[in-house]
Amino acid sequence: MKFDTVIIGAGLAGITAAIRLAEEGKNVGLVSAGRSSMHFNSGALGLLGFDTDHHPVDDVPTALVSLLPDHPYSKLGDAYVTRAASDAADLLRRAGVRTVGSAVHNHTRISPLGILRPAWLTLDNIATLDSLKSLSESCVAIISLAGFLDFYPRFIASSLEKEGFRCEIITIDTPELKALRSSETEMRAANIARIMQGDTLLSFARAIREAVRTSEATALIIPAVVNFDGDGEALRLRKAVGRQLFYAPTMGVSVPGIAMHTRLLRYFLSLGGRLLNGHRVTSADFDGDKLSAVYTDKFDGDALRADNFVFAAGSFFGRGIVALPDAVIEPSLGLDTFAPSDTSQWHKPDLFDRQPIMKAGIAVDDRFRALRNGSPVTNLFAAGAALAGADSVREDSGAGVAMLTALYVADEILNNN
Amino acid sequence: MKELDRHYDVIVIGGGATGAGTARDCALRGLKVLLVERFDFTHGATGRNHGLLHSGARYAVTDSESARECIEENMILRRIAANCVEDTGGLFITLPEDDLDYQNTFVKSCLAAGIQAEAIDPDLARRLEPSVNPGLIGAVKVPDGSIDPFRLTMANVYDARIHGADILTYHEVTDFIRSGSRIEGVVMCDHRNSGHEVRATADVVVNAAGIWGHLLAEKAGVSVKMFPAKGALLVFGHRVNNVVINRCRKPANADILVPGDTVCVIGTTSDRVSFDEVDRMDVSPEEVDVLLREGIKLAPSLATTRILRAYAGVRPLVASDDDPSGRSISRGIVCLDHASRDGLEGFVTITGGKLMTYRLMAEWATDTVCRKLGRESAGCVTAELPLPGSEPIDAEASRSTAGEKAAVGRHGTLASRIPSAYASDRALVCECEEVSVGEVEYAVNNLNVDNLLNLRRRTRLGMGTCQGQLCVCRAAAILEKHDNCTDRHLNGIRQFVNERWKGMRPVAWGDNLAESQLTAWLYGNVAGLDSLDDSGEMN
Amino acid sequence: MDFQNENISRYNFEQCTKCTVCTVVCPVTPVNPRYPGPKQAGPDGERYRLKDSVFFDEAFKYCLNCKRCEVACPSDVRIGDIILAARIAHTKSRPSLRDTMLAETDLMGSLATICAPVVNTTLAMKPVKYIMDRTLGIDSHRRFPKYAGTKFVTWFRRNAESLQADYPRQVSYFHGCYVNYNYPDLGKAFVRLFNAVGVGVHLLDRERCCGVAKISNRLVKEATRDAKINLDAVRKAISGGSEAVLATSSTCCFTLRDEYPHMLGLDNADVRPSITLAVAYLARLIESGDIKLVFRDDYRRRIAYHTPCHMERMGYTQYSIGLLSSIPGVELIVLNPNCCGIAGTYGFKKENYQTSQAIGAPLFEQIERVRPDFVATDCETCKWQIEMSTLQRVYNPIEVLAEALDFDATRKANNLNI
Repeated sequence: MKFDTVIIGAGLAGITAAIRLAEEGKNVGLVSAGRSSMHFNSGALGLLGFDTDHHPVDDVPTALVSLLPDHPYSKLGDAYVTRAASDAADLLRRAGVRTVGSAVHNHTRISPLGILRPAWLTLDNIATLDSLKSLSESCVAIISLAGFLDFYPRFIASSLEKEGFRCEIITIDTPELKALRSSETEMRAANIARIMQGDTLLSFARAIREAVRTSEATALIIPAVVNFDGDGEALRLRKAVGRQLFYAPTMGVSVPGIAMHTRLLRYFLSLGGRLLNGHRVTSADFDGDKLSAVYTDKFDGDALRADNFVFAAGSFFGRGIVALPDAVIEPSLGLDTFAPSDTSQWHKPDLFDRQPIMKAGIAVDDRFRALRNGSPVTNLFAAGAALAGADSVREDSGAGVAMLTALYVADEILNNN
Repeated sequence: MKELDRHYDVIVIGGGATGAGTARDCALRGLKVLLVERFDFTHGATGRNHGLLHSGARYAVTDSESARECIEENMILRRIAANCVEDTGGLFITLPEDDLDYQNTFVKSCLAAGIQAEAIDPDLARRLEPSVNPGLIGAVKVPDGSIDPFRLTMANVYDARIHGADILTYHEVTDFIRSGSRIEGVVMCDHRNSGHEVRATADVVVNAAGIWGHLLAEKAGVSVKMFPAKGALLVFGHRVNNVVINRCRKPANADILVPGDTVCVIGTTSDRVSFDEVDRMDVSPEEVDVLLREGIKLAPSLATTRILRAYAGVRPLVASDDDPSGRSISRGIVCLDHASRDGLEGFVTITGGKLMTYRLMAEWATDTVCRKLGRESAGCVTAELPLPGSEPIDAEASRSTAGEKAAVGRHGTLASRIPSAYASDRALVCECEEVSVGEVEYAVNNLNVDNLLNLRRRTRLGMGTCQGQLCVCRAAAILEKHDNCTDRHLNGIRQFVNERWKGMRPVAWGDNLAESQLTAWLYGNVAGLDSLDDSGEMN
Repeated sequence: MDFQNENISRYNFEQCTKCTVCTVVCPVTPVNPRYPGPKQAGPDGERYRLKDSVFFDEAFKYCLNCKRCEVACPSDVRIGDIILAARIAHTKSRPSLRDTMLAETDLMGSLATICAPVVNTTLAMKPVKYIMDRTLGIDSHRRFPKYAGTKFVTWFRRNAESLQADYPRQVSYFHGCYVNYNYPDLGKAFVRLFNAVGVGVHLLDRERCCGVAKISNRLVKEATRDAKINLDAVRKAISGGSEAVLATSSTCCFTLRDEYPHMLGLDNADVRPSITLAVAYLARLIESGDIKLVFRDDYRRRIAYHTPCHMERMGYTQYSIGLLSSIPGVELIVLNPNCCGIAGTYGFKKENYQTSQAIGAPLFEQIERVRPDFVATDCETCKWQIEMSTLQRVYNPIEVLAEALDFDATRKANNLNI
């Protein structure tokens, strides 16, 4: 199968690059080996949430300066990062993902456990500390659903109370939720969201209206269990409830994350992009310093050929790279990887400390071309969590690194031709 | 400073199997008992071993006394702790590199110790346990089984409490109240109450603190020479074998593979360590390699089975009293009345032994206590009286959900007390180990649970494949509802995840590292726990 | 460290990182809370079943075997296989008469085609449907696919077989039960299309039902017997000069390629790459420049393409989409990835009817909203379900290509003079 560009990996980095190229009329094949970590995104994206000393970042450009030279942002350059960050927000908007936030000053998101965290972009209907503080009254009602275990109203309330809010927690139930609850395992955010349509949504709205009738709260916070595939249920609910309404993220697979994935993918498909769903790249043909074709586990000998390739298969969780006890490898194309040489220092006793192994990834040159046997593959670019140099979990830079490096490599490809 | 009002007949120090068993035995014999544990029950060696219900065969050749004790206790535990025991049976296999002649000596020694050992055809062994090394040249069938030390200990605690015992966890004995050459009570530090001092008095104090008993004895002014021996083990992601597999040779490293609940465990190594290491046992890459290398010889498929975690416990090895050099080590039970031994009244040490003989150790310790108190008329009934939960289970009782079925496995007949009337009770908190909301509530209300680690030890919550990836938040929210300690439980999530990481770290590659990255991302980043400080060890 | 480096789990279910993405795509969980969901029924439950089979749950029968969970899984866990294998290993009861009847597509088909008009009328009669509903548990809302008067194989032997050897390329056709007994038109279209590009078509020496229905109804012995016959026939066809064995049904193709090794334990590695879908074969030859399709100038259609679950699982969707969108007069709308709900015999069972329709509802709504001229899909049971649940007709992409083809121009473009 022939394409202009084949993109390996359909997480945030892969889809961003795919959209950018498809918008320019390129014939793009997007290879997806299973769903990405975007599914756990809580409705907020991080550009750089914490500096190297793990202090929360307010002013992003200042913090960028202190990053190490091997960090993808350092390679992109500070000016590019700031400029591309606003391009990224525009791209999201074109795909129908509406966000608030700036690339210069972080705002404050509220985590599923109520912890306040710096954020770059937050979906516009998700509660942030900033949006709540802009309310005229500081009294909010947090709506919880009977029997739903993945939403933590008491943790959220405790945190908001420390910020001077008065919080009221109201638990509601509806016949449809009761039916779903009869499953021991499937009363989860995504499944609730999948039934929250039509009459079920209206019944939910009625229950909320009824429950808050006597409440003084001017704003309601409800768990993000609506809007599974971006068809406007959130808006419909807001209208039906008739009060200021914000969503708060839940733990586990997240509805805002799924909705973001769905919208981005649909936008890509609407641009004529082609999705190879459920394919894992297993091997490749190289021709001199070029990658000529990749093979997947699904197509027998039918190769995916392209002028350019993007490697955006993710880190350990995405299986873009794999850790052995004493080495980190890229299993499909045999690309060079970087990992700290002293294996005894890979892991720290505190999981939440800086884990040196998390900086492991694909080695690239200064144009983000992947290295193989020490030299760049001239038509293979790497982007996103697969890249070495960022501890994106700890820095909260995952979304930023994904989108910005993806935009960079897309531009490289467009300029190449 | 707080002084407990009640004066006790006996204070038992140590919330492992031995201490809990001693507290139960004392309570059953009508004594006023206080059981104190510095952290949580099963926090020491009890919670860090194989979970093997020894037939005694392992010791038959080298230590016939231990072998005999084992098989007798083995039969007793099958009766009284049915809910904690699984009758898997065991095999002692001979591999080509082993001496097949040893098998004869082994079978003879077993039979002499009263252990039903039967040499069987290797083909039959392969059929009995398909995962066994197919290259085996000999096999002996023995009545091994598996035993869950967490359930066993809690059943003893539960019954002790039913029979009037008072229980204090997170109370660490820091000193003794003494009057002349007599111990009259203990001074404790309450870890849950900013280290407040609490004092309790009793006629007799029993030191059942395992390896930590060495230090306690020192505090009491007597010397019990113990040597900490570290044993490392690996837990695999699922049950590879359903029959215990041992090597038929002189006991050595990593020669027992035990199926326990949803996992199997290979162990152990045995290395002397110093006392300053006993509170922080890490497993080294070399130990992981030894365990894996030897384990593969028992069941080759372990080579390609996911290792869930690595852990290590400390056995208290006790030097014989007549050998102050400590070179002559006994694995047998040591029960010391320090009045006759050292001239110190009111102080008894029970140590040595092993999980298998916890009940016998408790019996000896209680006999000693009763003798000292002049209450010898009350006889020991623990060899006959089933532990709570271990009464025969009504096979007809319908259990429909996976959580209900798993709970019966964990709590035996007591599972009937787990709320399950409403769908919200039956909802699963931990999906890997099938722990329901009802079971969490039950544990909080009945099994001394006030944090996530306690909960794990009582229910297996967070002990499955994902090592607490999603269940921990759900469980923390339930705990928080009981005590409103929001910040403590938020920190608790972080500490729980880190405690799991401790065991995953030595084996953090492949699937485990992918799992850890997801966990770090979900909890550290998405939920934001990495900006809390990890203060206060919760144990 | 050698032992650690080697320690990569070969137990597929252990590669699960418990991310729960599978539950997000399972079509059953939101509509049937009795189903424990793919994670719980699959990798979670498997650990417990290894300990004790009491942890098997009869509710696993609500699994559609659509394998959407497997496509979504980032860790390559074969969740659907694990669940189906558990059903086969642990279900205590024998498959019922109804399940056996539904699964015996060959037997039922052979009997029915003999007297097709009678059977078609009978199966459509209300009292018969009522009786089937009450006594057999086959839902009375269901329309049975009509049986053809003349089997495809009969037509082929009479009208086409003798001409095939003259074409420069040769393939064998795994027509499947549906083409043979119910819908020979698709088989005829296949032969015409392939002949037009210079590919001669042969039948396999012996062809049995692929066995998908038998496998999902736990008739493993019977399925294995048929599968062995099919694999032998495939091997014989390949060694006898066929370039490939092609199916027009995505599910038949999937079963031969993947369910045989995974569910029946039959090693097909030697011939697996040769078994493929007709659209995949065409697309590859077109890309390599070996064949050309020329389409009619006057063909104008708005087509909605529905991706069958097993098509998605095979990763073949782009072949059909690519071919359909290469027809100049076609406006192709790719429908959102939703299961239609029928899942072969699943939707025929009374206990599943409501679940089945609820699963398909978003798809049906989208089809009605899009208002295409017709729907295209590669699976016959999707076709039944969509035709029963919407006002649309449904065609296989091979039929669409044959319909849109300018035969003379195509033959010429492929230098055919026969």
